Amino acid sequence: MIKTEPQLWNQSAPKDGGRRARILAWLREHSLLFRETLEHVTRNLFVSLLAWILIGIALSLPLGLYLVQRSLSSISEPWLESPGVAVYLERGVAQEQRQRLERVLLEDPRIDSLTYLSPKQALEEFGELTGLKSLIEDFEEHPLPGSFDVVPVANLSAEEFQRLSEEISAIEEVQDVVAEGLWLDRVLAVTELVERLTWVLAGLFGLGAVLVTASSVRLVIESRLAELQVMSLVGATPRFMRRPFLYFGVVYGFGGGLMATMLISGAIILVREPARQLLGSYGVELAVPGFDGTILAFLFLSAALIGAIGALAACARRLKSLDN
Amino acid sequence: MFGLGVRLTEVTKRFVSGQPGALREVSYQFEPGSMTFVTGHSGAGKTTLLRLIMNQFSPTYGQVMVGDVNLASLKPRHLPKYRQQLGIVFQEHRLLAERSVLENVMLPLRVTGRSRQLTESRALNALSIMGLGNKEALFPEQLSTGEQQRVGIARALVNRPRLLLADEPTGNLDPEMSKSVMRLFGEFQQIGATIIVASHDIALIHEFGAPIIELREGELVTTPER
Repeated sequence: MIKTEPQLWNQSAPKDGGRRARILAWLREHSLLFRETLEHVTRNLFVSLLAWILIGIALSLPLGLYLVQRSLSSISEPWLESPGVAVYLERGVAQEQRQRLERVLLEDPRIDSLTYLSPKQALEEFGELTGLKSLIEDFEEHPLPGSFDVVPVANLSAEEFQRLSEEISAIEEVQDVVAEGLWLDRVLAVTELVERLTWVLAGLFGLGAVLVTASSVRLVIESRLAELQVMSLVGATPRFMRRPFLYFGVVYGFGGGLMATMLISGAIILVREPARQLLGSYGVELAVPGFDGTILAFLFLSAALIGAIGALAACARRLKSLDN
Repeated sequence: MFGLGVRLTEVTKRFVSGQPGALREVSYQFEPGSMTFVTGHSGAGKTTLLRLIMNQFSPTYGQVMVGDVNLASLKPRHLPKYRQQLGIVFQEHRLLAERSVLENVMLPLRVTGRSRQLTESRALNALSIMGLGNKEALFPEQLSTGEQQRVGIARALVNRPRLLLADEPTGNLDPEMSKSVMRLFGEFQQIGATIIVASHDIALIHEFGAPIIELREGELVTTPER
């Protein structure tokens, strides 16, 4: 039965307790929302899993490309520090001529050191690299020329490096000069291309992830529309109404980040060995890309941010028309 | 003055252009601290009138003033603050199915960022007054329709509104409970709140002797003598 004594409505309720109590209420509200979000996600695990997978796929391509780009950088870095010049001599250059040339080169202040590779050594190295050793042994004379591996001094500018290559190339006994810088430039160009592609794809797929989150959050909003309409009528601010959906966005984004980590880890396991073999055949050791703390922190922060942006986008449209 | 006065000036509301309005040139002043019944048959415009005061939509023509605020000029960012001063009893009670009775009643206080202690204490007090003191942990579907209606009323009163808008608040209640609810509204009026009750329960309305206005097909046909 309803009690009808007016004083009941005037009973003193506990005081709000000021700023501290309000902060505590705010924190309690957030912890409640976080718990509710996790409960909702657990109750609708299949739908949440689909959203995570979609966001994870959208995030994994730019993430994968970033790791590839890091790998390429790690391949090119040692050469960046000291790119060499392979100086191939004319066939039949006498030993005195070769020694004179060696002295001339060593006197050049731009050259740090050099190593001579005789035609015999070159052929043996070639045989080992190509696996054609037994075939090569049958050659009557060595088809490869002798060569110098010239190491320029550190911090030689690209222009000086180029000029040095040209000057060596002009020497009479020299047949050909191959500056490692040339193909290094190509590796750097590919690295830069991959880097830019990573950013372009990160932008596009990030947008895709935002849209996936927005539509997932939109579904949650629709399922709670009646609650939101009542909230709006009892005076809830847009910020208050948005709050739970921001949590959904962040949880979806975070889950997507986790999914992307798993997908990329799986991909690394799959391609690591073939890639190692391929690069090994070029004498290059593959630095297997992996996740360090910085990458993981950046990934999960970006994923959470993408989720939050998606949630805000979903709320912006739907919460405006609650009264209609 | 605690209660908010409401002044309607030639208010017309048309939902479909070219169709007769749900309300037609209605002018009336609800005095601050008064209790007024709005009556009329189903579709007469009672709910539309209340929704205009809630600022769920704007009138096609005319003006709705609540206190000294013209609702048409109320900025969206000020709407929540305005609504926090209202108490709304919905015709179909509109309880949140996934929330407990206590959480439903706490909602109007929760949205204002009040402390949990205060929110819970007031909500429990409101439930106790409504005779639902032992049902706070239940969910709406575990209650009878009448009990759900009482939870809806507790939710409307819990923030001690300056203006109470009740749309058929006794529609699902037995006669005895209906009278209790009306007496409760009367107590609120004594505190100073303005109360507007839309109802077609003529017998109940006459028993309480409050001013009555009658709507018929959107037009105000009867107003109390002043």
